[in-house]
Amino acid sequence: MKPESLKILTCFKVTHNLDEITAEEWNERMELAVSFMSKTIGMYDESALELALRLSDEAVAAGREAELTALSVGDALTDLMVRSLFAVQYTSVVNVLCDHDLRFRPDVVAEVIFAFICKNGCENGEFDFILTGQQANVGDNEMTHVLLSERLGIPCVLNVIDASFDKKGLRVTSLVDDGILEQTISFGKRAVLAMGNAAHPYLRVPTLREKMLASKKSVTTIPSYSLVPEFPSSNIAFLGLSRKKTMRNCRFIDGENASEKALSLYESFPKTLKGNNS
Amino acid sequence: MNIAVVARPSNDVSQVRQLLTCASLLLPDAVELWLTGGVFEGDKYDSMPIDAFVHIIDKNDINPNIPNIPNIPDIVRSTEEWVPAIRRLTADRKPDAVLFYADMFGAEMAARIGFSAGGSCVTGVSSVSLTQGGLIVERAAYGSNLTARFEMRRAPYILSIAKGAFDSSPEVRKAAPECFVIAETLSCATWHIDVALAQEEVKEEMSDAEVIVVAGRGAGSRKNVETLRRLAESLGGKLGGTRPAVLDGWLKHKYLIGASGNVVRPKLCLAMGVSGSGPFMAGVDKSGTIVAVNNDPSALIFKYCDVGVVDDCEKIADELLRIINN
Repeated sequence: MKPESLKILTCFKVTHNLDEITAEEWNERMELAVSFMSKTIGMYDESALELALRLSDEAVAAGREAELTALSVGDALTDLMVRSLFAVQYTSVVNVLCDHDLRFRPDVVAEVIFAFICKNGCENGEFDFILTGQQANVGDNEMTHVLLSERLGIPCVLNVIDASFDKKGLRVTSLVDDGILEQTISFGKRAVLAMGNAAHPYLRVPTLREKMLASKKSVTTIPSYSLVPEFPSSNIAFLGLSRKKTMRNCRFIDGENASEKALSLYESFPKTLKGNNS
Repeated sequence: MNIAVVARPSNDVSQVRQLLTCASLLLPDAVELWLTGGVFEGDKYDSMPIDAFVHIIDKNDINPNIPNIPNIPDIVRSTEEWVPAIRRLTADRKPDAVLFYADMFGAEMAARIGFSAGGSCVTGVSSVSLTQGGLIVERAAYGSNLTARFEMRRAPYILSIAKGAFDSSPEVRKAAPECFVIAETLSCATWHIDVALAQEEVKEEMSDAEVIVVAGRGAGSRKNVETLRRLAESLGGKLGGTRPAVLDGWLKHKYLIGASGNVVRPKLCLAMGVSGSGPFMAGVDKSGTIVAVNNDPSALIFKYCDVGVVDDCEKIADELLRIINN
């Protein structure tokens, strides 16, 4: 591994725990129900945050300096999120706040991140890697990382499962349509890595001591207009949301025990399927 | 409206048909199928409503000894390497709409072409209609719990279509299509030192299965998932898994059922230890009968199934196997 320092920017999104919403709440209140749910970090973004830490661990073990920045665009971060990120050794946590509706504007999010990267590159040096999640709920856009890579003019590896350094560069394992790809990004080349179903999906848990030390650090808050002065127009108009999921009338199978229930269940299977077994 | 449908030769016929069904809803004057790399097998697309084929191959990659077979397998080519060629074709042939299938290749390609084409781009589209102002499209949002509706106001319209969203039987056109071969110099990626397929995954064909047994996190262990595999086989069906089951390493990614994996429509779907999250339901909600087994009576899955059993899924699976084997 080369002796220079490693700089990683991890982009993540504050989202809501949609699993807490019942089917009835979705039907009755649609997106309004979401605002009552607890805030969380998108699941793929969480994998990206953890991968950056693992790469930092490897760099430090090899005698390099590592600098990790966590960046979130849109909603305000919770104190718990900020404290957790500092506690697991993120160097800085940046929250770009925006009053506009960004749910379906991956182009704007990519533009804001691009502007942040350019500004940081001028002031503090360029990031070696930019990590993102493949997709975050609410918008489900799955485009920000690609648009960012286009904007930066650097490659993007999608559906990343894992990555680690070897003698030649960063070895990246990713999922493609036909299997699992392994490629080495040579030292000195920058890239965007978008995390998919990762080998290490969850952010590590900090110790109590790490949490206490982190409580003294504070998030850097930036208004989006300071990075992108004019909110970009779009050729796509968002017209609204609807709920198309149809609930089914569940008939519960009763029984004294699993054996009875299984028998009743088997009897309920279509006859043609039962015929397959004879 | 002239429409280009972009696919890889490895896209199966049903995926190309879904793209053509989507194209037919836009009342096209002409439809071209652009194929990136691989071996062109015209017979595969017989009787499909295609006016012209455009087969894009790498100029540097033509093996003189074996015509039409590339030296570098397309499987290790990054999507980015094909982008300049698709961009040139889009600029030269000026389609009003370019459609991709939302697999990993298509989803990335749509976003990249959309970035540069100067029109409008929406990915993962599940419905489409033509209006005077442009296109009205819908796609999943809020973790596949809601559907968002958009108006695309400027051509070219770049779309990737959601897996399984359109049926695969568009109208048939019988006139013989024109064929063009375009030899491009693909810009080989210079940013990586080596690239290799670590593990080739033979696609698990689930779209035609009459029975799918799905293992969720509630399955509890790899051993129990193997029991569910035997149950699936006993019913003449296939085994799939939810994201947690895949992340826990009980099943390979190719068995993932849901919006980001396989979208299936079996006659019978047995959801074993599955919670019923939005992305999962997007993968099975076109099933005939959905049976859910979960030991939590308040599990969301019971709102979306036809038959429910409140019990441990491994016990029910064991009992079902015993009944079937007897």
